Amino acid sequence: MVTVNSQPLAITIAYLETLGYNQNKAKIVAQTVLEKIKELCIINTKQSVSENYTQNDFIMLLDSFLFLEAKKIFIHDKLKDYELLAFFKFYFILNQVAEYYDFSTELKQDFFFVKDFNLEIIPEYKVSQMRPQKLSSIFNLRKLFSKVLKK
Amino acid sequence: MSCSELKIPDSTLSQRRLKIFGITILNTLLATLKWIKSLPTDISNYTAIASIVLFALTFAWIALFFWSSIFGFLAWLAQKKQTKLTKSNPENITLSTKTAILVPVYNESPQQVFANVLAMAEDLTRQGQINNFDFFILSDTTNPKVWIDEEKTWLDAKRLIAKIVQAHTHSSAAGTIIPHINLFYRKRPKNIARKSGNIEDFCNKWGKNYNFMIVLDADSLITAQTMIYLAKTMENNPQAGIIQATPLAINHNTLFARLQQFASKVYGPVVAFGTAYWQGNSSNYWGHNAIIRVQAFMDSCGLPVLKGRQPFGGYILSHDFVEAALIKRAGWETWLLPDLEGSYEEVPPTLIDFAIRDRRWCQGNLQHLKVLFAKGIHPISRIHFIIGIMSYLSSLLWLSFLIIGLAVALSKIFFPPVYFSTYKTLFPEWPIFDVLGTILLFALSMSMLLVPKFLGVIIYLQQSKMRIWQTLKSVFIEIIISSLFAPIMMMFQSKFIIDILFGRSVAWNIQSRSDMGTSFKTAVKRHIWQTGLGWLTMLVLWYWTTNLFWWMLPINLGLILSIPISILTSKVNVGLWFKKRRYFLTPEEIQKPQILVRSKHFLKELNLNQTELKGIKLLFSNNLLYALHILMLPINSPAPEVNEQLWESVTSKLKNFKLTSKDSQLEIFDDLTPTEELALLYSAETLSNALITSKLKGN
Repeated sequence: MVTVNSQPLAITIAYLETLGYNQNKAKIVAQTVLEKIKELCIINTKQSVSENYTQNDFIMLLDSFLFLEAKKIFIHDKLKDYELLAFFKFYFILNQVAEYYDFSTELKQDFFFVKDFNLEIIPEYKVSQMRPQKLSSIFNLRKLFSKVLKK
Repeated sequence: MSCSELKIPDSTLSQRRLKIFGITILNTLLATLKWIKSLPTDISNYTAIASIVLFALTFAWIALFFWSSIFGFLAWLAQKKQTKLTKSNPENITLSTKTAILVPVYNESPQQVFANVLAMAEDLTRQGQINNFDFFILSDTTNPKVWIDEEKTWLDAKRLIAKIVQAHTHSSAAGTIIPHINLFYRKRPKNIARKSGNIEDFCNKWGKNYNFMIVLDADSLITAQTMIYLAKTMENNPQAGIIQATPLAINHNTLFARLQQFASKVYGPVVAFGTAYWQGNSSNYWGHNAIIRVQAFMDSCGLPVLKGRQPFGGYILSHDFVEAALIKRAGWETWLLPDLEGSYEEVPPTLIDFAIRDRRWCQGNLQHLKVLFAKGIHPISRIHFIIGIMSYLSSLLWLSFLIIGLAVALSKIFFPPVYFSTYKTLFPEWPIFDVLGTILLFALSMSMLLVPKFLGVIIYLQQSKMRIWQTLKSVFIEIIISSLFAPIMMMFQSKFIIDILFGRSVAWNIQSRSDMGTSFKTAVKRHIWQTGLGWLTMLVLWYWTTNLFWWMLPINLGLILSIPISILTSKVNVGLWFKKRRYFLTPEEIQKPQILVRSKHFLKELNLNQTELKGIKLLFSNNLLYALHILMLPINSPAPEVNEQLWESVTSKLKNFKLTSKDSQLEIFDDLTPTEELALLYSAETLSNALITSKLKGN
């Protein structure tokens, strides 16, 4: 049986707050999230959410959980995992999904649609390389001076 | 719309150059001969030679400006009958190319930058041409607080863009037409090679996606009509590598800025027509408000790092002149369009801000000594370099000329003339000094400086329909005030050159664009040495040589009054006092350009969302902004290297914070230095941890 101490719960509440949940709702939703994480841990790694987890470990665990949710919504081959997660979190907050969603049901794609909002931060790279040009002098001043001095 | 065909036959250009330089040389030669004849006969040969060389160089500088303006005025008269370049309706133009509009920024006010961009984007949308243009904010910002502010303002701007899109989406028989406004943002982790490196980084990543790029400054504004015109002219002239639009100074209210804005409006065209007249297809590039053929630029304008130490070695500071020279060397043409309207910029609001910018430009131009003799450079490009160098060197030459004159005058007091030499002679050697000749030369030099101004007035009055008397009054006062500025700038620029020659390099300072004014303390700090020198010269002259005292008075007066001049001209209320009385009034002040009005509107909108929190505190107080920052991190990476000591300091500060109250949860970040804050902002993992910790403590 997995036991979760109070620290993961507090971290989960804080984590949910960063997604736009108010403190009261976060407290309720956190329980659901933790249950799901417990299940995931058992299914995927046969490990439990233990007291040995550091805060950082636990945040990563929460991120992994959220990433699975993100994959259900955004199908984007070109994004790396952490980019997809960041993308998901951004739209989650932008659309105030926290107001309708408590992780107990299926996440709907409709929540993430924003009319006329184009998030493209930069276009795709088309890499090339500008080569530094040569700016050598028509005469070498140093050589010229040394010649004059020698004479 | 028929956008101009940029073509001047080579033979015509050669003739023009021959005329300008021939007359300049002849003029200088004659004036120098007169100077030689006017010199006192009892001065040493060394003094005479030094004086003649300095006279010839400073006079040649004035003569080139004068004759260039005369021919510029004639060129304007010849072109007067033609229609204005941007009068045609851009809706009728079909562009087949894609243009990137680049806004390189360095610790600027993000609200102002994005407000300008939004105004330009809206204008292009209104003209139905936005789909051919993409905006790039290329940040080199190093201040963590400004960085986060830039990200926030980008997001706010995207929301405003959604509104613009909504307002301009319309249905037609062909279906619904939705404009696409692309506003991209990226921050460079390391600002290698400053602005030129920033542009190069853009070219390396996205250059291949675009035919042309319009390079702007953080304070640039260009109307859609002008941008479309530039792009179309590029399309019509496949040999053109760079087309430079002449920017008009606008938007400030300090007296100093208003004087510059007035001068830019009144005297600018005659100078621009003059330079365009003889430079033709070998014109210069001023680093902003210009369109560039991207592939040509990428192939030929990669800048090398100059050998040797700063200030002459290292990265090229004034990159624009060098890029113009390189693109020309590669066979492309560079053009200046003196009659193109709708291109604006801002000027430094105070004399001190102007001097700070000049220090940077001075170093950049002197650095061109290293590329002046580079192989394959077009002779006109070399002349651009020389003009740039002379813009600053002329101050030192003028100062040296004055010092020699002063020394000669004083030497007569301390070493009276010798009428009978050591050898026996019946006739005394009377020292001869042609006073009338020198007065004549002085009058000639002054008129050569002033005539171009009045030619500018003629163009101005013809183009703007302003009142003659009002304009002349303004010009008269502008001449008086700029005569007081001249010795101050001469001293500043001379000091800059000496500093540079002693190897002192300049830091990349943030350019001030606010109308805050100059405090007494700052003015004293910057001008005290000029005031002291002014008083000293004045007293010496008054005591020993009263005649010269009056001749030198305008110069000394400028120096003595440098502190009050600097303070008074930096004040907005002084600028507005003159504005109220219709002095230095430009048509753009009477009726603001629509694009400026829209920029001010967007600035107001963007400022509505301003909070007192900055940097990491702003990030942690705004979940969406935090998510955006993390989302942008891979784009803005790789993070600059952080040494272990700095990182330890960051982590220990984060571990050891103590909270006194729930409300003060963000105060922990006040302890971080800017470098520590910057390092933390680059680390997604530590940030995430710190955010949760701050929430945990807060809960």
